[in-house]
Amino acid sequence: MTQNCSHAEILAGAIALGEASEAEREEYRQHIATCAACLRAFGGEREIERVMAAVAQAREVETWEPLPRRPGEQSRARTWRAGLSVLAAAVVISFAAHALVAAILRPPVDSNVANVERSTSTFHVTSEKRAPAAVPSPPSPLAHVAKTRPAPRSMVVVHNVVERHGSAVTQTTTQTTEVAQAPVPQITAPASNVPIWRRDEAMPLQQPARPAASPVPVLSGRAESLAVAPLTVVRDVVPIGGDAAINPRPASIAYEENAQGTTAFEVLVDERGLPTKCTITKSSGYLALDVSVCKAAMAAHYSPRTVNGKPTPGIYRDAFTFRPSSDEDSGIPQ
Amino acid sequence: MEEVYLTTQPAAGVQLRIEALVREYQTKLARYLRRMVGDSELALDLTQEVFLAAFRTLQRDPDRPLTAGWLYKTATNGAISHLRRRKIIRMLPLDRESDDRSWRIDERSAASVDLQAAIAKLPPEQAAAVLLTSYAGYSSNEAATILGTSPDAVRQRVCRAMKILRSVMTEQS
Repeated sequence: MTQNCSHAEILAGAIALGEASEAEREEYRQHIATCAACLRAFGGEREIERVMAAVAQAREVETWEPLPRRPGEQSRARTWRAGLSVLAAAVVISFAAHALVAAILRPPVDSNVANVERSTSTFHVTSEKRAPAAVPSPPSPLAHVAKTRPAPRSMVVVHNVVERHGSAVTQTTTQTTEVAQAPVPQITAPASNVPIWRRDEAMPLQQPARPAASPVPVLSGRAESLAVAPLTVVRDVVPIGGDAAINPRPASIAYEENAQGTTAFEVLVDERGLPTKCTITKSSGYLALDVSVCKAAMAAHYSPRTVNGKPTPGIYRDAFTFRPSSDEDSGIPQ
Repeated sequence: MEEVYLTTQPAAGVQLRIEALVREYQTKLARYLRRMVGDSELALDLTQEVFLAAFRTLQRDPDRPLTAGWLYKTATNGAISHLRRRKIIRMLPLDRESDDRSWRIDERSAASVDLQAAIAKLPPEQAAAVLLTSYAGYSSNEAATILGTSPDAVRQRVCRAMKILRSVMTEQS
């Protein structure tokens, strides 16, 4: 019996492939007439041909043209992975190198400076770098203060000017108080020269802070640090992998309804590049399309908006237009 | 490893033959592999590996005739071994039917996508048997040579695959 059934499988396979002779078809008919299990599992000849027609149809409607890939080029995912591992390796190596340098440098510096210069001439830069850090402390306490403060201040200015408005006012003002001690007069000049500001609302924020206080003494030191601020570079949110990274896949109901239209949307992207909220700003009129767009937008990865290289929350806006393809008529005969 | 492919080899004849093979079979192989693994990026990777293997073979033995069957055989082996490796992590969402962003909206007619979901459920050998025959257009004899088995075994695999496809299709409809 099992012998017969496994032979019936071969016959059914031949029928499926359209290779069966009339004798083989007859044999199969006789088998399923007596074997309910095979009839249930494979069906009659018509049924077999119907199932196989779906496969053949998939071949007919295939339109995918693989992009010619340059030899040696790998998929994005793979390169990314390789890049990560290279990066990891680089980090490990740099750690090792630093540890090595530290190990080599430390003992000689402590014991004998002349020795260092002779034996590890290549590491001069490192030892020189260390020296200035030690120097500032000896001079007068006033000079010391002037040296250390500008560094955090220049950061605060950048932060304040470009980044926040509205919700973060309290935060900015607290930070601004620090800045407002001196830098204020300088910022007007460079700011007006440089048109890089993205958010104009941020500028007024700066002005109320200005009159707060302006002691003159350390101006020369701060002017340099302030000059950095106008170079602020804002880079907006971008989906990683370009616009094609967002790929809506509407539910099958959309095809049945012959849905079409344009869906515009915006995604809030936090400073880690993760989408936090998707809003449909213009609906296509079909729920399935809109839902698929937001689903795809939330599934994508983004590189966050950055202000001077510092990631901040941002908004990404885009739109998709759906229309039924011309192939579809031939696609669904049932 | 890829540099081997990139550097211009003195054997220009090999280069030309490979180029001809790529021109002729790249699309066919990539489509076949995409059906096998359900992912177009991966299919392109695997396609490239096939041509890389062809190149190495021709380098070793320039006179060897490389047929379409040879290419399909290499492609099938690559796809099957990939699917077997991935079977271990099948429980993760990275299934064969997922991440198919390349199934463009316009070609996602209901039938072809449902078929892809069904094919993803087949054991790799059965998927290869079905796709080589009804999709790539080989007879069971030719498919048997490619798969290194007998024609009857191919028919049997097709039959078993058909049984699964049928149950999936009736489930869906």
